[in-house]
Amino acid sequence: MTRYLLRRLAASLLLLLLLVSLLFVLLHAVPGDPLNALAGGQLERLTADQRARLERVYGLDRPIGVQYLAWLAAAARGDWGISISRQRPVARVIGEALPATVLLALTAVAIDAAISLPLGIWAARRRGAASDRLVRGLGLLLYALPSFWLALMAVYVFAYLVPIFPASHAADPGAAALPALERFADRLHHLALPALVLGVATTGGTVRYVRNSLLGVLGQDYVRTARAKGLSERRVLWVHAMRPALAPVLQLFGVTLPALLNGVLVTEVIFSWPGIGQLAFQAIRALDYPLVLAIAVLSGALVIAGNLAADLLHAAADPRVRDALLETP
Amino acid sequence: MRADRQLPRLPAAALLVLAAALAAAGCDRDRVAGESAEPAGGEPRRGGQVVIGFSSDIAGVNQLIHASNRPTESVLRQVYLQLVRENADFESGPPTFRPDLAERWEWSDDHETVTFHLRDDAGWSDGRPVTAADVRFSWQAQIHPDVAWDTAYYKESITDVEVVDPYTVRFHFSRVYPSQLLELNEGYILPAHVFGEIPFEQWRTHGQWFREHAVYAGPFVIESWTPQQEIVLARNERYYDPELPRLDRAIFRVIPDASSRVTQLLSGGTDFTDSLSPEDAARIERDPRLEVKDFWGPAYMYIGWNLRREPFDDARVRLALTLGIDRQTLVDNVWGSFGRVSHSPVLQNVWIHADDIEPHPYDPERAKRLLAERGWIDRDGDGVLDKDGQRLSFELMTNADNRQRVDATVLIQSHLARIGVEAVPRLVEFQTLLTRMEESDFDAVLAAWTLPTGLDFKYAFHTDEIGDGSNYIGYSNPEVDRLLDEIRAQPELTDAEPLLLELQRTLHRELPYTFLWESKRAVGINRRVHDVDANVLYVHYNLYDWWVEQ
Repeated sequence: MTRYLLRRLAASLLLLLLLVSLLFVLLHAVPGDPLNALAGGQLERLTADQRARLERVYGLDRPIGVQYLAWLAAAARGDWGISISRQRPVARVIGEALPATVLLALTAVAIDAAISLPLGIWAARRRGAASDRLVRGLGLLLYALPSFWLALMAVYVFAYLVPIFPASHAADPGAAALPALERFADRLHHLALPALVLGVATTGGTVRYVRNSLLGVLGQDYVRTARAKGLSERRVLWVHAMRPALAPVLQLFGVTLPALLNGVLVTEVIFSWPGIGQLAFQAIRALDYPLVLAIAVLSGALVIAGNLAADLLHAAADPRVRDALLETP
Repeated sequence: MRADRQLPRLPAAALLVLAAALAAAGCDRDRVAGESAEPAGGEPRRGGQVVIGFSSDIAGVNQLIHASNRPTESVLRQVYLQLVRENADFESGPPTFRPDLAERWEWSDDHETVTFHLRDDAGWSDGRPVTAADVRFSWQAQIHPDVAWDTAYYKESITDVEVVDPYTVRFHFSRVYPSQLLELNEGYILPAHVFGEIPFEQWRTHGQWFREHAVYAGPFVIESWTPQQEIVLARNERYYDPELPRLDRAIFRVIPDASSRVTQLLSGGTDFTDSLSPEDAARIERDPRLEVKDFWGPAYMYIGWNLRREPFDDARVRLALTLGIDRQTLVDNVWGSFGRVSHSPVLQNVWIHADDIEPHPYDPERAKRLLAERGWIDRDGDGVLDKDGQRLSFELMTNADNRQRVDATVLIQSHLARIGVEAVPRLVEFQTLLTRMEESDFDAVLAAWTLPTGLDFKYAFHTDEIGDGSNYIGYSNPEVDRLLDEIRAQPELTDAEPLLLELQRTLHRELPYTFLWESKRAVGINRRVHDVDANVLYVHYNLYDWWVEQ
């Protein structure tokens, strides 16, 4: 098991390295100059001397290979550099944005699970019935809807037509001055709409997955055996079928992390949510190399960790998988 | 390098593009001016707050190390002082100024030194007084090469800033020119006792430090700043005018999406929003609780021809292309009532605009004749003119994120097709557009400049500005160079009047640019806010005067 973990970790690191290397090259191949954003789009206002000094401050004067190695060496030490567009340490900038994204993403996953699990189980138990077809149809529809459209519709309906939720931001104007409890309530009020959009957007896929996974298990011999023993349907379902059926669902949450991060980007931009997604959007626009790279490493690491965690969870939930892992040479 | 470039007022003013281009990375500046305060309903009241919709977050609290974008500028001008403030009278004559930190100032007879007498009741928010030492320190920071302020070239003719006593400071110049006061005044007075703790060499990497330690002397202080969300300004209790500001708070709310900004104004979530489209302005005007104010300018849109490339090196061809574009229809389609055809780099509402210019009409027949005289005839019958086996076809480049520009390229394509010219729209990302312009790697670009209020157009049209400067089209005309140099050698801008008129006529004849349109900038305001004296360059300039009803 330990060997398996170590191997997976090594492979993950290698993957991450490949990812950032590729991104580093691609970023520098994009036409444009990060100093341009710094000079308000008016690079020609800087004198050659000023430009040279700025390039030196941000390390842009060195050959790209040297920049790459220096960046890698610093990153390995945990030094993510100075954001070119913000003149502040990248770690600080990301540290400010991360809590908002974690809050949003976790709430969305919880909403997704709270909707998908019961619906998926319900549909599986009524396989072929009208209710099953309805759930599957709705699931497919949701799956096909682009999340930005869902977000815009949600704003239109719940913030404009029936204004029960704020259309954007993580807090009301001036909320920082409120007492803690009111500030918390205000935060929840603002969280509701983006989290619902993000959570519901992934529900379509999850609900179908839960249903199919459970149906697969219900068709297994041991379930038939359990039924043959005369166990109640309830006991068959919740004791014998659920655990192996949920294992792949847990895995799904790990595997769909890239889609979730993608949704975070869109949702945060539309709702002006002060998280990593919006930060990434702005960093890319400004060609802020250190900031873009750090965000890429962070989200890349998250995705890889999500996959790893999914496999381990799967193993923990399904004895057959666990045994297979332990036997791996 | 950029020795004596004088762009009176806005550093960013002269510069590229984007008046309407980039809400997010906006490049022209918001700034001051005027005394056209509008009569308000009732007595001004002290207290309350306003919420202002903002397109993007501010870059930081130290002006010298950050990108000079509109939001940053709008906030910083509320929290720092300048020696004097420019009035918003650039339309009616050369810029004038009113006191700020300096109560009064006098010039030496040779006009090479100016002495400012500072008020003794201005203080930083930590209780320290604002003195001549702060003025000198600010100048030292502005010109320090490692600070690399993008507007440092304004200060190139200042040889010294002398502290005469704590409340008297004297500027020495190496030469006399029209924009001396305007340029020396550019940039805010910074707190020497705080910012001086960080060596200039390290300023560029200390944005975080400045943010944590800044003190302020303007009418407001930054009370809190939640990145990507809002900047809360609160009354500076130490501001030198105890009557001002009237508001307790002004909250700048970051709302990157333009339609969300409008929705929030309509729903009462914000009190003020900027850069409305004609459609949004109409929607807002229908709401009795809201009002719209609009102003012409500050930018003009044009097609810049790459004069290094054939056939754009030929003024007759440029004239034919200009005559071949139905600019009135173009403006009507793209801007509606918010646009008008432009004929000169001097906007039509500015005092020195050459009214005697006869606009080039839409005349496709004459355009075709002119092109035929130059040998451009459709010999192979493919609908596009040709000459020596070359088709009259070019790429018209602009940035894809600006709807008006994109629409315009398509309309221009269809107009020019009627005279047998193939203009292929080429839409690129904004950064790419800048790079291609800088490298002169284009046929023609659709771009814009913001009007420099000091009316110095050297940056765009002088031979010296080819290469390193902003004359990216490669325009070189000894007559124009002479006019530009002479304008800059006049002691007062008013003396340059005949030269400025002559310059406009020459550009209109030569057409290095085909001028397309001027447009309006419009703001939406909730009527509960009074005494808003917005103007085209500085929409929240008199924030300290604003007041709200109970």
